[in-house]
Amino acid sequence: MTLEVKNLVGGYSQIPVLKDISFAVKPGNVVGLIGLNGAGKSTTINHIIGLLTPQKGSIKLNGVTLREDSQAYKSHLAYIPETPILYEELTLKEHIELSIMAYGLDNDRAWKKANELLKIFRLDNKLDWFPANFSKGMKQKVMIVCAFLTESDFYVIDEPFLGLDPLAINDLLELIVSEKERGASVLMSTHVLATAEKYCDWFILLNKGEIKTQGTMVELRQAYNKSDASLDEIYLGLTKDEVTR
Amino acid sequence: MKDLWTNRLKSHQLLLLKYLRYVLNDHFVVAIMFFVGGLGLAYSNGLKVMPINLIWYRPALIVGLLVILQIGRLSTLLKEADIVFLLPQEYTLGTYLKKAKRYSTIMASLMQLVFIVLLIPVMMIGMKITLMDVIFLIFTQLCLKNNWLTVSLLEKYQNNRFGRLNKTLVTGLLPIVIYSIGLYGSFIVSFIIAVLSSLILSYLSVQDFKEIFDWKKAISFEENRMLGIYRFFNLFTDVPMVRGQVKRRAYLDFILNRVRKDDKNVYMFLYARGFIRGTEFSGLFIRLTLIGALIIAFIPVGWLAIAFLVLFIYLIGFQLLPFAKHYDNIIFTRLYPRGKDFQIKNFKKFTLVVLGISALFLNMALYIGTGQLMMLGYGILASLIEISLFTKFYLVTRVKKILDV
Repeated sequence: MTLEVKNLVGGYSQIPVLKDISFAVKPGNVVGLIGLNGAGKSTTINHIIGLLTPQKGSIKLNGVTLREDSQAYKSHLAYIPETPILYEELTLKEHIELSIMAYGLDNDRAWKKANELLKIFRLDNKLDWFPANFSKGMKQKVMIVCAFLTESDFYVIDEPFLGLDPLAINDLLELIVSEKERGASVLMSTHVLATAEKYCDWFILLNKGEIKTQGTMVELRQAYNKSDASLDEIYLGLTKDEVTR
Repeated sequence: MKDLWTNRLKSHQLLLLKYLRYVLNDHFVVAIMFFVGGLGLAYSNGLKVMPINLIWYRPALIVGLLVILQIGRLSTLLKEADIVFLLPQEYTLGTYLKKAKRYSTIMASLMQLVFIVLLIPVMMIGMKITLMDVIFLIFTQLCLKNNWLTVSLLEKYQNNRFGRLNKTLVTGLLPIVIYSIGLYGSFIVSFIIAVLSSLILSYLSVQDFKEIFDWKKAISFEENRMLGIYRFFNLFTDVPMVRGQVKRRAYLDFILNRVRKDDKNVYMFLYARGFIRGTEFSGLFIRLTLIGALIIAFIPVGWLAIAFLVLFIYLIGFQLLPFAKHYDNIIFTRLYPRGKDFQIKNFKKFTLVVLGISALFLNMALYIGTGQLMMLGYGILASLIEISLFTKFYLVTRVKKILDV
């Protein structure tokens, strides 16, 4: 079991945004976190990466909570934020060095991986530039490179496709698949339902801080009573009565 | 547009007021009073023994007036979002800018008055300039300041005639000529020329103000001006808007490469780069070290020089503390497996190095000032004790608070 979220209640203030959420991410699984703006996706992610403390419930990564052993917890987790966040004073090369340092990775091996990734995302000739001056899509690529070079057990990816060109989206999906085959697991939040349907093994449909339903595509279709429904249809169907009510 | 200016000005003044409260806290006011009192006393004593009409007084006064002339910038109070939201209103921008110019002129004139009034005793006693002439000089200066601001506004239009060259002409060369005419010839004539130059400039600029407004330039000017204000306030309290520029400074990479690259030095890696490539804290460090060294180098009395040395090391260390949270708004620094314990350790080491470097320079200045090896020994001893106490106790407790541990 990679990630286990149990009865999580939490949010930014006393009034909880998340109301009793439970789910798990198994090794080698890609889990899609799906919901409208404000449904609680980012709040869930912020709890998982440890920026927020649960008000109730627990979050375990490889069996430990952040409280019990923060170093073990954090070293198994790689995160790609929704909007790229970069160090203004660091070059691209130094961003990679910093990731290698921070996660205590083997230098040669990590650089080999990094060079592969840089080549895929066509950043290999920009090592000495300040990525803070890059375009949105290129910044996002830097985030992807820095996260994937860690060869982590567990990836948290917030809205990964925003701002990426079609080629990069395709490359990212291939990366996710190969990491999955290696045994790593991925939790990603997204609005691109068609892609999610194709690549995710498990879906969590969030609405107003609660899990409406979760399961595999087959299970979702059963719950929706339509054997050929797309994720789009299921999701719209499930949220529509909520919204109109 | 009229209302917009009024609203902007109001919120600007509220902001200044809000931060001024932090500047004018008790111990700073007391310190300033002592400082001003001491300076005033020294000034009046100096006036009594001042030899009259030395040959370099007039050139020095010209330079002084020229420096004073640069004080007081054009505040347009434009904001970055204006480029989007005010674009359709560009044709009415003139009204807004006229208000802005008028406000800036008033503020700048007040500042000019304050500084020139400070110079009046020197002019009247040391240089025997009559009161009438001083008054002409003041009005000349105000005219020139008005020119200065007009050019500053003109610069914000595209295709204007005021490139760098013409700007230096109006704000630098012309004032020097006018001051010289006043000081070596007649103050009335210089005043008349200044008034004429103002009239000619405003006549010439009518056409230029019809050009297209250069939003980008105007906004970046205004942002720089505000940054200067924020930087000043940042010396007293935390100002969220202060984020300096970043320069590559590849020639300093040899220092950065001295940091060992392993997971225990993650924050050292960051602090070193943030310090060297950022301008904010390294600038502070350089300024304070230079000022300290200059002051100390001119103090022949050993114990006083050491007192200043200790004071400046403390000041630099104290100003450096907010740098601990320089990377707080970047989520990743909080996701790294090695947590805040290491961050504090790294910051301590970083501060040790930085203070060590400034102690080196300050002690050199101490030796220059006192000329005694003995004093240098005491100075080094004092700095060593101070730096180790500062980093070991004060820094750790303060940084824990700053980092919310």
